[in-house]
Amino acid sequence: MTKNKNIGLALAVLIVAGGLYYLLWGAASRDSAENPEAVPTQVNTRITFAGSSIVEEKDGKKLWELKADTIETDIDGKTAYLKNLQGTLYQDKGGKVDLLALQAQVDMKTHDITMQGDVKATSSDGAVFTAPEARWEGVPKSFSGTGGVTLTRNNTVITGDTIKTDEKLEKVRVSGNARVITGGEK
Amino acid sequence: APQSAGKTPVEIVADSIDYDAATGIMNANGTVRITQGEAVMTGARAQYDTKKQEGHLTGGVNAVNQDTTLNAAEIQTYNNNTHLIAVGDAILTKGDKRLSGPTVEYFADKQYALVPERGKIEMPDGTMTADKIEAFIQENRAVGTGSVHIVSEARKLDATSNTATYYGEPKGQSKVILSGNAYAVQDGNILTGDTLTLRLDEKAMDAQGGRTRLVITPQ
Repeated sequence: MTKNKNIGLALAVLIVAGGLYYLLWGAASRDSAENPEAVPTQVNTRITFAGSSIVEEKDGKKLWELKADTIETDIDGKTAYLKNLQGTLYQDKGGKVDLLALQAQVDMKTHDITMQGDVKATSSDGAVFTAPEARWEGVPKSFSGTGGVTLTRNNTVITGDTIKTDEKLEKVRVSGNARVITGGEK
Repeated sequence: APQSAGKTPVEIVADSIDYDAATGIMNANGTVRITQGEAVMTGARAQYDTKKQEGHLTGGVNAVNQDTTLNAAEIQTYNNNTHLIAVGDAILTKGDKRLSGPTVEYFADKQYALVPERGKIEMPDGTMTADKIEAFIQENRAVGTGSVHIVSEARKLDATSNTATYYGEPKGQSKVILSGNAYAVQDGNILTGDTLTLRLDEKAMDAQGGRTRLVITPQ
């Protein structure tokens, strides 16, 4: 099932990519044929989708959904580039994690997501993870953040240079200047 | 007024910390420092239960709270870190007193410390060793139980008994009450009896109950 799903996803991207590629490339080459003096412009190697989303599903169940102001992909469709990401990671037992980041890249093969710029992940049970840079990996499902990270859960605040946590932001390893404040009034 | 211990947050700093929110257990490694109010504990490693507010530090552990210091190979804390059990060359220091033994149990709230075996307490007045020593810190009082031996260089005193209670208060009137096979030598004079009271500042001894024997050595 996973293979069909991936192929489905990839196909969707390719068809769209191919269509727009023809549009963009076709226009550029027709210009230079009709107008020999026209300086061949640098062909935009990325295709831009305005106001779209990327979804990963497995066995008909949504794993994650990423929305963004703009989504660009390389011609070969290997990487998607998102601006002003708003995403949701869906957990097995019904919980979810909402994602925000100024920009992100999705590896269309591994479906790992790297994020930069005010990254914020909020789990449905109230844990909040913030970092300048972060990465979501699908296998095993895990989050990692670098550059000075904070994870807050109830009356426990964890900070450090780098952090690695499971998909539910529950099991956490913080390394480098690791600091936890816990207890006290909620 | 200072925040009650129950509400005082705990800060844990280390090279790395693993935390499981489901169990509430934290494992800290490398230059660990746990701070709660004025109490600071340091060690090489620590496991801390954020739900029970209990910790277990190992690796050259030092715990300081105002003028009380506890050193040991490892320290386990209970009851929101107000009850500490120090194991492995444990030494509790408070002001000019030093209580030591393989294990020292310290109750910060009650200002009470217990050395359950091979205890030793060193004070300006002298040193007491015993199978078990209890220190009632606020009252400046210590009780030795089993094989009590007291030595005071300052007072040229050497005494033994089954049990002994040292009273450091009131100032200038410190005394030791020896009970059971009490034997005391001071400046060469020997006093034995069932119960002996040694008034340390006045360099006086008196005996109560049972057969008493005094041997005076001409100076």
